[in-house]
Amino acid sequence: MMSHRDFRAELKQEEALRAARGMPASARHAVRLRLRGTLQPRARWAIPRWIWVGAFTTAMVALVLGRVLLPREALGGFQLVSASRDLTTRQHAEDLELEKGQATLVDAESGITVRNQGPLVLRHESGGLRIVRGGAELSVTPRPKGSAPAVVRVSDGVIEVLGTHFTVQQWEGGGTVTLHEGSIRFVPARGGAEVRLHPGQSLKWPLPEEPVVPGPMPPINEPPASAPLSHGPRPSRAKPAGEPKTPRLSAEEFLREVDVLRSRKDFEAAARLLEEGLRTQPPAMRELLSFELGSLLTHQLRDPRRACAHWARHERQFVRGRYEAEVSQAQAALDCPRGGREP
Amino acid sequence: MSPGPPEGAVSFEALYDAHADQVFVWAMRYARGRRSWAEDLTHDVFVKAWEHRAWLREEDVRGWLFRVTQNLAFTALRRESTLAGRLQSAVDSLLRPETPSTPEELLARRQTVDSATSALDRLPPQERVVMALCTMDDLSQREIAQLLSLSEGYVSKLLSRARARLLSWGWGVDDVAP
Repeated sequence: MMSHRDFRAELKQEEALRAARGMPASARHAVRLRLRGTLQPRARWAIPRWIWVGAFTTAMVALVLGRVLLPREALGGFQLVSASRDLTTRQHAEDLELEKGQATLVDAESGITVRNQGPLVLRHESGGLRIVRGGAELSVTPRPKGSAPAVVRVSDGVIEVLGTHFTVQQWEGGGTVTLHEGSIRFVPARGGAEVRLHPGQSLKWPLPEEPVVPGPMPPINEPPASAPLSHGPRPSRAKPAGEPKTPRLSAEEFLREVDVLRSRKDFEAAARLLEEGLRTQPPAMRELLSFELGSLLTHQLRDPRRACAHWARHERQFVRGRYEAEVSQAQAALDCPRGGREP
Repeated sequence: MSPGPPEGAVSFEALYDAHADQVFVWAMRYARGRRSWAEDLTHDVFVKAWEHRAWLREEDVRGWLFRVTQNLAFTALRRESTLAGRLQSAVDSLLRPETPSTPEELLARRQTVDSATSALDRLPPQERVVMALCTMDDLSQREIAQLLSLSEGYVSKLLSRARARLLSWGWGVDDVAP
């Protein structure tokens, strides 16, 4: 009969030998190190789960609020609402040039939304914007009654807007404006009667030579006879008979000269030219020039003393003038002394 | 190593220093000579101990570590016996070949070729664990069943099969206490 080895006894003996040898020092050290690595992070993760949930929720809320509340990307003084992938822009002094692509910009101050139609050069100005060159579709959110109109400046004048949708094309020495909805008023820079446009009408500039007796400027596409073109000339805007008909510089040349100096950042020279213009240009243009000069002193030259003095003179000269609201805003921003006193 | 344990609980460093040897030896029962396998198991046992540190007390810690080691070993061996486990073992052996690192370890391995331990190693994983608990720790079938959360009938079947195998290899195993 085959004899069997005692499995239990021999196994216990071998186990006793293993127990006597114990854990090799290297193994003991290695496991200790691994345990440190494993357990230390666990200690950190022992932060209560509600803290992680709270932190995550806060981060998500901040992200959403940030998208909604934080200012959109700024571009040349405008807020960029949307842009095509191929949009390329350039900044020349104060001018923003949209060279290629499509963009929608908002001028937060005036509430004017601009969508370019091809290449466009525009500039943010106090109380509005200036279309320097190119085509743009513009819209303005309707303003409450009594508030100042938004202002879009072009080479030959100012388009005053009270909530509407229109298109502007500006090229070298001329341009057009087409009104799609609402109502706009074109105020010629060189004086003369304002032209009020109704939906579907267009107006082209430079305007024909002003008649001796002021009257409304005819839009390009003449509306039906029943459609009023404007509210007619205002006596205060009409050119007085005693004024010289041709100043040293024409209104267009004068404004272009101011633009050139501004684009060169030669603001002092621009201010001097505007001051000269206040003496030499037709009276109907002087309110605009005075406003331009005040804006220059306030925003570009940042000279509160001269700016306050100028705004005080402006207020006295143009009581309840066209830029009354903007003038008040500028005075408040500069903390000018009230009551029309010059500092 | 880590933040201090709660009041009244064991110190973790003291726990490791006092019981690492014993846990490692228990793990080596089932390691089939693979030291890294025993190290892995020892690591896992002390991680469990850390997770349950609030309930560990000096007086019962050895028994607790024993139960945890046997259960983790049983689970690990059962996992190894699956196809995925065998593939994982093959990958592990390629990445981490088991070669004795010292002459002493090489000698110890040669000595066990014809030993009771080598016979234990040849048993299927589950039979290996229950037979080790039965022969080395003198646990009854009922105690083994409770320890490993198995039915007594299953433990009895595993022990019978293991005993038959060992008998065929020339090993005699006395009757197991019920």
